[in-house]
Amino acid sequence: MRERASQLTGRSLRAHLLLWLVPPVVGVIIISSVASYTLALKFATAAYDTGLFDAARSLAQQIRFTPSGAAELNLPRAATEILVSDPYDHIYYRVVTDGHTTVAGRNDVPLPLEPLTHAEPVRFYDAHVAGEPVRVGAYAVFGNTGHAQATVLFAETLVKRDHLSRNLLVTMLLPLISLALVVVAGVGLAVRRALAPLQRLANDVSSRGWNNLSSVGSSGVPEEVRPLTDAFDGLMQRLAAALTAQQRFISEAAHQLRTPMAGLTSQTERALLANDIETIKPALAQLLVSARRVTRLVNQLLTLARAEPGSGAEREFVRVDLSALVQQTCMEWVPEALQKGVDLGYAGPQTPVSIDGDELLLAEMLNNLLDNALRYGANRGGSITVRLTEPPVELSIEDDGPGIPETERARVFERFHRVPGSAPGGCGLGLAIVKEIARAHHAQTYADMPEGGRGAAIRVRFAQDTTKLSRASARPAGSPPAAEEMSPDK
Amino acid sequence: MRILVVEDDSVLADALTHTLRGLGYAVDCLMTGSEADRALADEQYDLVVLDIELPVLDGFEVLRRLRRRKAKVPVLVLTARDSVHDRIHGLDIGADDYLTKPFEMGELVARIRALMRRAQGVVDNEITVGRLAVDVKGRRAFVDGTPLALSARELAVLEVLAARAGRVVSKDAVMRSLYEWDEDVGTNAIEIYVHRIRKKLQDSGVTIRTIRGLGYLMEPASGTVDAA
Repeated sequence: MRERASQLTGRSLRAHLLLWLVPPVVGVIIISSVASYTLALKFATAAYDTGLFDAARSLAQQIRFTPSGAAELNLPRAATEILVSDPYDHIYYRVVTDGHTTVAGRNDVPLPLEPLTHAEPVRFYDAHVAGEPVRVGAYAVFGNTGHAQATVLFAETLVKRDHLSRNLLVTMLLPLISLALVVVAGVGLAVRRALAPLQRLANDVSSRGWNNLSSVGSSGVPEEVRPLTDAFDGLMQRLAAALTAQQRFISEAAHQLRTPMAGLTSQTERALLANDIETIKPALAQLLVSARRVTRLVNQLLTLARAEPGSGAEREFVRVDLSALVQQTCMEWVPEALQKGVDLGYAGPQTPVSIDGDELLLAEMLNNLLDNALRYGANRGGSITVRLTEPPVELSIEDDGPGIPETERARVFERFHRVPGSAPGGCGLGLAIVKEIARAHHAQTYADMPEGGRGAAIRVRFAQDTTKLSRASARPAGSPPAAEEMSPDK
Repeated sequence: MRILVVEDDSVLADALTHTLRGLGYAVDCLMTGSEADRALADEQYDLVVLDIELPVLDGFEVLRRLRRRKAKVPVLVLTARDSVHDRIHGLDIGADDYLTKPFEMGELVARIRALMRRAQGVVDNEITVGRLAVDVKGRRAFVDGTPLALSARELAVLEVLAARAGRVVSKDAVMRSLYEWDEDVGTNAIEIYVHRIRKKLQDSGVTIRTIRGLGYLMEPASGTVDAA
């Protein structure tokens, strides 16, 4: 069924219109033809029948009754000849008396099935004479007794009538058939005329270069197609915006790469000019710093590209135990934190906190959050706390460092944005990556400060529905759902 | 120890060759996959460092042919592509480890050492952290050669912490190390054991840090841990 429906929708407009128009038109033509033909035939038959009646009556006037009541027809042969002569049809007559005795004419012209009466002295009916179909007009002549004393039958073959009915049919059908043809041709023409602007549009779009994202315009386009062109223009605008953003991003990224590359080049030159190992070593150390910076930037750019929608790297989301993932990732960062003299800890449930997600991307998000906190958040001797709460599932990375000024809080997630006065070495992509990955997980990111009122907190709040799903499956068997909803602060 | 390095980027190949030679390995360096394929068919190596993006015959194909010959030599794959798909593909067709470019030379060397140890089936019976030494087989622990008086349970906890010195060991992992006593050990009990061990390690220079919400981390006094 669905296949048939799609076949229908995929068919050309012309076929579609014809499919809907032709059957009803043909139906109307058939019905109206039958109706008018029947009506016309009825009137024509009545006219011819009147002719038959006239002939029968004039014959009847020639009938004389004998005193015994028998009928006689005294008609000169010449008169009879005139009566039965007709250029097209054979005409037969018969005069019957006493109900069955033929007084004159052919005796094989059939009598009416029911005898004629005073009330109905005339009757017409179809019959056969000598194997030929005929129309018979019967006329009764009554004497004093009241019984029909004589019946005059006048029959004629159907040549004239058939001819007339054929003529009627043709005269009526011709205009109707032409109407149908006009409808078909009209639909075809109208569709072609109406769709001509679409062809122009298609030519315009297909001849465009990839970077011509201007509006396709809707002049001359049928009103019904306007939503399509409008939607197309909307898409063009979004594409243009995305393209501009991409170009800006690429040029920004290239500029960001220039600085460490300049460092690499100049330090290498410095090392090559040096003669003794003691001069070379510090240059090489600087070279390594620059190289690591390039590496980090390139890796971040790649991560960002992967986290973006449509990167082609999307995998199916699966159930991820965020609690285990957070603990695991924190453990991996503890040695580096200790090296920097930072106390890194986790505060959250030890039991599973499940969300739908991509484990690798989520781990990447955590890595960037922790890297960010270690670089710019906590000072030596300070602390970082990774907090996981639910519901709703919220991940917070809190430090006790300088904090983020309120005016900067919305901007820290922007690409290449760096908080003024923050430690050097970064390029402002870490939190942009966090935001991008969070967005892929329908999570919101925001920055504020920890409850203590000191330091910075970066929070990722996962969407409510994901939470609900996870709570349903993470709930231990047998525990009532109501009890869990009663204790949101668990 | 003979290592084959297959890398078509001459700068990186040069750095790899020199670093590994400096560490005392015999190193052959080849630039193309087909050369590497021939060399691997003819010669015996203890380890292969294989780049994936190679001219003529790519690293995956070299690896596939190597494994088809039933060669067991450990292979460390290098690549600039780090999509999960690539990683899984590489490990599927027989890579033993995977490193994404650019990498730190220290990490490469550590992984080469680990692969060689694994290939030789060497399992260290002694774990050392700073001045602390744990004899896994003999079930004893020493500081500067002097045996420590530890209960069996304390030794088990010490062992699991020492084995992963410099890294965080979750309380769960510590608890699992005590399962062999078939006891229901609570978190409090773990804290008590750790407290006792700390006391006994007081003069060893080795400390056990409590990592908030995560577990414990053992480190020598200097704060640095030998990667190997």
